[in-house]
Amino acid sequence: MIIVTKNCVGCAFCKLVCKEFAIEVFGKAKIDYEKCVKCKKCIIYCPLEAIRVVE
Amino acid sequence: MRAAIIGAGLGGLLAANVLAKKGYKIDVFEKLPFAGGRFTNLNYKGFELTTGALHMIPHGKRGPLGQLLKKLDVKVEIVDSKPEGEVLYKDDRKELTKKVAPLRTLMKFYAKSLAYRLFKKDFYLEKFQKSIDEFSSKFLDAFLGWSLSITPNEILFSKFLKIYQQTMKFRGPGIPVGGCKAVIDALIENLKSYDGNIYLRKKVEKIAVKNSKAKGVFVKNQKKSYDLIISNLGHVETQKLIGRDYLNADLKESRGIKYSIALRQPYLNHTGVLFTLNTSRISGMNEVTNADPNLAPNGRHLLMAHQPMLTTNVKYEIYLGLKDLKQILKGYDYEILAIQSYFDGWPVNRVKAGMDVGIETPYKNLFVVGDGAKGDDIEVDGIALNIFRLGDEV
Repeated sequence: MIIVTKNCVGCAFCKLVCKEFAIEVFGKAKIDYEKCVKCKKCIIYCPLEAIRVVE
Repeated sequence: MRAAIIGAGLGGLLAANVLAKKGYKIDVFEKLPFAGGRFTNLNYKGFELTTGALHMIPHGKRGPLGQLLKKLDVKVEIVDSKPEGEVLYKDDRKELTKKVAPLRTLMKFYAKSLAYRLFKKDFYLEKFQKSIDEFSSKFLDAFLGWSLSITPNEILFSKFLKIYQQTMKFRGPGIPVGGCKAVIDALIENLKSYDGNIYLRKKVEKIAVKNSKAKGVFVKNQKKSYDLIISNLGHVETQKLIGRDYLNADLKESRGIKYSIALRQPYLNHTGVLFTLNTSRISGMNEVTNADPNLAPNGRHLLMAHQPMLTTNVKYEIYLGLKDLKQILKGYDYEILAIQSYFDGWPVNRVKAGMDVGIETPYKNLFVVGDGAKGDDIEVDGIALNIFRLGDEV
């Protein structure tokens, strides 16, 4: 599962690169798990390493 | 001679180009999968949205960044804004000229400037703000909020005076054709012409120092030796990489929120800035598609608005920002494409304008550049100002 941690400041890089439009940002990123295909692009683009995979 | 640049943001790439021109063999290390940091574009629904900065250079082609790009022979087309600015005050839009402020306020400002020059007695700008008329006071809030993401109680009069002088000298803004990314792409191309390397997704984990000298960097546990190291991460993060504190000052970041707005019809209809005075949070906006229509899909416009963060409650700040936008754009068909907030580890500026401590570190071959070590000017022009200094120092 991909989660957004408290390090997120809401810069929205994840939203801008998500091709599935699965992320909304309003001060903090929020993932729509129905749309997320787990491509992990959001993780790679996050400058604060605030998005992570947890088992 | 070999130089390592930590971070491929605007400051890092400008430093890389200056040093490459001086004959250094350059390696740039960037932890993200793209260069440009908070000064580039990401395409979203056909709109070229910025990663951080606005698609704007504060003093256009005349200012420090425009001059540095020209000196480096980096080819970027910058459209100087016309008008430079407007003010929105009590539902009335007026072109920004010196005449919009009452003569009494201007005289007060000149008197304070003269007094400062003569007696060097400094004070926070807020003190001056309290002595002036309502319009000028609100303009001061909007100007500082838009250009520096700060309020008058956060900047000394002497520092504001320097920024004012730079603004009077180099005048208003310009928009790079192709947006921020055009500047970054041109810098990369120029660096490659000097055989410089940019390594993406390569995070520098440590800076090795010995006897007041920086020796190299660690990337993926491997040490690489360099004669010169430039950090684009600000002094605070650079200290962490060294593993030893050297700062005496508590450096605070500037915080802000940016809104990217899609429109079917233009709102501003010009390439300058609109300073919004009767708002609770939004300080200003620009409509970059009036300079470069390719920054949005055919027939659409991209409006960018900015506000400083006055509290630590991001959601509340956004709520107030959106309320302002609803009022300003009343009657317009608009869509908020993205709301981007910047603070803590990914701020507007790593150090608030006026609090910068310079590019030097206690290590003679280690320098800090970027928005954590600006000169006394606005945003990327402040960054460029200190890159000139780096060129003189090295």
